[in-house]
Amino acid sequence: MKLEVEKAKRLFILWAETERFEQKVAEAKQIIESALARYNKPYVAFSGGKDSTVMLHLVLQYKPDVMVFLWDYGKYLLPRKIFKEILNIADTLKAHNLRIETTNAYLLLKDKAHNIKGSVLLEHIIPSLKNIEGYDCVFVGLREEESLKRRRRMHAQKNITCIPEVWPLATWRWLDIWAYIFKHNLPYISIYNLYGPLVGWDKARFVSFFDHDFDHLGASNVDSFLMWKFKHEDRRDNTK
Amino acid sequence: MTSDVQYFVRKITQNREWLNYNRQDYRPFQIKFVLGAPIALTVPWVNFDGLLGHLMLLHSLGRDYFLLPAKLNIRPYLRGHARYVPLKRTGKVTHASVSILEPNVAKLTTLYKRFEADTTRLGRYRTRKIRLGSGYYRLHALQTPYVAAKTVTFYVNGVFDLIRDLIKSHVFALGNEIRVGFGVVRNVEFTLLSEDWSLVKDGKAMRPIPVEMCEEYEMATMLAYKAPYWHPDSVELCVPPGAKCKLKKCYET
Repeated sequence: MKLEVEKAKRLFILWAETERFEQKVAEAKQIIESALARYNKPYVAFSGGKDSTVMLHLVLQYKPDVMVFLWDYGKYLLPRKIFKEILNIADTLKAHNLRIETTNAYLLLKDKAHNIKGSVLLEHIIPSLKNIEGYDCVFVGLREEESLKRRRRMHAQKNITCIPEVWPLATWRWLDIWAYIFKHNLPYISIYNLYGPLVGWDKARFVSFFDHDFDHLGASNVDSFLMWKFKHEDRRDNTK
Repeated sequence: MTSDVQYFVRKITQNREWLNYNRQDYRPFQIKFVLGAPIALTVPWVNFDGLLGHLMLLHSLGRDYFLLPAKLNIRPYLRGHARYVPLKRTGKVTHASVSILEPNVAKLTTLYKRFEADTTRLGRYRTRKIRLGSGYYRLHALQTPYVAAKTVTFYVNGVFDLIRDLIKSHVFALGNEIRVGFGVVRNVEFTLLSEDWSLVKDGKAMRPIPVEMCEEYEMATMLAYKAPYWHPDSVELCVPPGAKCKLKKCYET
């Protein structure tokens, strides 16, 4: 597995030397610069995945004190070991203004928590960020390549919340993301090293595991094969 | 007792001669399956005691095995040896290692489940347009991990003759997706051993072992340690296979 990761890493570093990659980075930087000039109080939506890590690294170069918003899916959907890795990434990138939000519903409903993010984060927390705290823009690491639905949404400039979204990585491909990560030696969560060689580096995605809301993004067969260490983590509380 | 349970319990218990054994019959041995096709898995290993339980029921019930209702637990109604797999037990676990796959490099493939109009009874909906993108007749592309292993080895301590006969008469493939040709077994080799490596070998756990049975251990995680391995009640804090561990003296063999 290590050998395959090293092989892929060499390929991505080669891609980072191409002109096309440089253009993508310059384009992303320009989007960030213009957004920072246009909006007064932006924040970064950070999930801990590869895209938001790259985006956070880019935004922090221009605004080191930007608020970084991290949604915690709770220990039943996001194993704490992985969550600690996410916090370490934010710490390594020097995101000092990190804000973590969650809801008790994740603890009460455990792995049966469905659409909690929609009902709590999108309907209550984000409107309060705008109306009470005055945030007027959010940097989101969405890419057109990820799905047709996203591409359509981005082409239509459609926001899913009341705060306008900025997508600096909109035109980036998965190859660009990994090239940026390895070129700048950015940290990333270890599960990519498991999923990358097996499902392919283009398809390796980080979403909360064992969460039925994200079933369509992955395969439960592959999750239980690779993530067996975390599969029954929710039963840990019952152990004396 | 419901009539279903009565039927299956009678069928299992009426033909018990093959299940007669004593504790003195337990012997450590190795089972090596030589595979003719890659093995598809949903967890990184195969649990031998689960496989053996499946074979015992298959042997007792014959084709009725496939009629067993999924949620009917007949175990409380069984008596004697019929309740247990013919394996030595220490503490909470049976003496059966998980599968050791050689070589062990995982790959991924996609299996397609296709709706076939000719073989499906559509009744009065026959003339209507059928949605294949979603709903009951949806087509599926299932990602399936597999390991192109040449051999699968288990270390077992149990009733040698009984286990050998069960395997020889019923096992034609191992792992998941055997209906499409994964995990076909070409040959099985049985070797008697002088040492018992079914729980710990060279200081490493050979199967999930509950931490309460261990004096020292390298790592622990929540795992199923007994059959049925899919059942949440089988899960406990365990030392995973491959991790260093030392059993408590009272459990050492």
